[in-house]
Amino acid sequence: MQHPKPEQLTDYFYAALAPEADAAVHAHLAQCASCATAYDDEAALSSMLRRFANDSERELPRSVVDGVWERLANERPKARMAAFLGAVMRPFVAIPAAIAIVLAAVFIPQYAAQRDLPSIDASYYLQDHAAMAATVPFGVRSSVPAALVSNNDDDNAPATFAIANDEP
Amino acid sequence: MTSRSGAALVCAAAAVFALAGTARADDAATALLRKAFDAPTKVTYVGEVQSMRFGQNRSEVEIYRVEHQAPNLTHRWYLAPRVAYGDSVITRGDTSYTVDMNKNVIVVSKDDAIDDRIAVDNNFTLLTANYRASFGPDDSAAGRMTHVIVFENAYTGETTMRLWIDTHTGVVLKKEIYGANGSLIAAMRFTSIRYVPVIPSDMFSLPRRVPTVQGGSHGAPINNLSVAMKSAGFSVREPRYLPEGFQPLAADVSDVSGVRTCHILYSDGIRTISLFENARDAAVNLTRFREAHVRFEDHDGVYAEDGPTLLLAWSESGLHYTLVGDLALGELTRIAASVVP
Amino acid sequence: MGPRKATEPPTAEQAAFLERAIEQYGKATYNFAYRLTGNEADARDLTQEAFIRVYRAWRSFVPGTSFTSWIYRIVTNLHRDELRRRKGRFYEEIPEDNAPQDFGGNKPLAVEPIDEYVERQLSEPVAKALAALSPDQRQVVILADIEEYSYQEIAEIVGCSIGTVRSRLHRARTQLRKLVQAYSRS
Repeated sequence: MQHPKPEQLTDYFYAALAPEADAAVHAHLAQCASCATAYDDEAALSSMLRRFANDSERELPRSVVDGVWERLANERPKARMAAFLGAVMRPFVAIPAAIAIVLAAVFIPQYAAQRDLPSIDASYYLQDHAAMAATVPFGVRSSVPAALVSNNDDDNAPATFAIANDEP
Repeated sequence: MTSRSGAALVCAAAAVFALAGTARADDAATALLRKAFDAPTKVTYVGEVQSMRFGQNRSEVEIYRVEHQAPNLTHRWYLAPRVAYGDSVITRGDTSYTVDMNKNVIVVSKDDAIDDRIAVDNNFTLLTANYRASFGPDDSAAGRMTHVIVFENAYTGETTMRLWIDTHTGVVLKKEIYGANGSLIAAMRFTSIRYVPVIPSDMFSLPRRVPTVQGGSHGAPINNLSVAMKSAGFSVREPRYLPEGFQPLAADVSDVSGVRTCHILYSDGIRTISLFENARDAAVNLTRFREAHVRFEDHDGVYAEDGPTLLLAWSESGLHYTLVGDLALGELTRIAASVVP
Repeated sequence: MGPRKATEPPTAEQAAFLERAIEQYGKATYNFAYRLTGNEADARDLTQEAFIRVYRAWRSFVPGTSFTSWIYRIVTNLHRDELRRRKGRFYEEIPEDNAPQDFGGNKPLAVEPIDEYVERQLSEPVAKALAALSPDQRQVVILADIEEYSYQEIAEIVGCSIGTVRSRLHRARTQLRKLVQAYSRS
């Protein structure tokens, strides 16, 4: 077989060649060092991508899940609400229902607050403030060196220069 | 925030330029200050630093050795406080590696604002707009000759900061920051410094066989408030009152214990305050601090001191707010009362 | 049973379907969205919208087929719609973020990093290179190399022919190789 084209090598790597073509490339790679190197390059690129994927893997933020449920809760059908209101507006239903709603409004938020709401440790606020405030070069929170920036493009001064350490 | 719709932080810079006319600093002092801002990108040195912040009940002291290779490699090795002894922070540009020897872990964090030329320039403009810079008598620090710049608040006339700047290199060798009553609230000084042409590369290497973890709690500051507002997912409020000269400088939005929290940093170039807001009324847990109650306007708030830093927290209309900063309680409650829908 | 109308009330079954979907596929979907968009804020919005679509169209999911392929298809379509919606704005942001950073200028960096450090630095050029690809190319690379789908499956998710997948993937890999090298050098 002639040297496979780069596209064929990629298809071979992804196991997307027809069986005959796959076998031919397989046999060629066993005896052609330059194609074997090119194949290793293909494999290295993919393994680099997978390593990057592993390194940058993230947890699903809780806010996304909450956001989904909140949005769905707000989209409850209006038509059913109208029918429901029609039914509950009859006095013998409305009065007990109103009492129940008032009681629920008073007690459920308190219960929910105790049961569901997370609290955030004060240390988080203090540390996050310190971290962000440290970027103010001569602020109360800055450290040494005060301001770190990449070199100025318009400044051709060398990064280091000789300085006499013994003061006159 | 709705009261200042579309308030991008670029507006901060514009406002600052407008102020510049009223608070024109001494040109030579300003030029030297600019040199001090740029010095870290040009000067390589090794030294030892003492840094202190003074509170009414507790003060904080840090002592560290610093090796800095221009333009943006730094290694700080902590000698004090005792809990941090032996810990290192290696910074390369905007990425920091905190080597925690006790927990045997390296925490990697990224802070876009540190390596941001525009952010630094905004800071310079903010500082020179809000403070009149003038020369004090020359002095020495860490065995080097220094020019001293005194910063006077353009609105109150109070002396707020003194910088001792190496006459040759522009490196700030000593800094003192004063509170409203003239008391010292923060200070930094090099106890020794030696300028060198190059630092051996292994000074910036990380220890082997120590696992790294992402320091995920601090989001990257962004330079546009409207982006922060959009990504917060709730209506973020902005204080109507800020002490003179304070401007929003940076912001981020993070998920903290599953709660979306928006953090905006305000500064006048020296002093800083942070306003945190979350939409789930997630209260602040102050169990590890001495908690006190305070009433301002129609609000019941709680506050605690962490050395010189005050934390004030309160809730309103289902939002929870936390203000953190090195200002007096009265000033913080005044800011807090102005955060209204 | 035919598809439900959006205005019909949710059933316990429908809610349970969504709950299970989020629990089992939420993280993968979010990571897929993050890799497509390159930022957390857009990935959050995309993931949230995708699960809303899953909830509304839950009846159209055919049991026995791949749920991941289905939701990736939803995410891919949403992402494409979003790109169309903010065309121009999107492309302005990319070059600045992804231009090689001129860290040390002409000066050599004095860092001899350890293995983990090298690994971390390696992943940065990859992230930048991925972000610099066109959205279509990025999709196929992510689906082929990170999610390990076949050409046929990618074609179904993206909604194009196998030939298109093949040519996009070849171009993307050639481009990616160049970009990774360029960003690694910088």
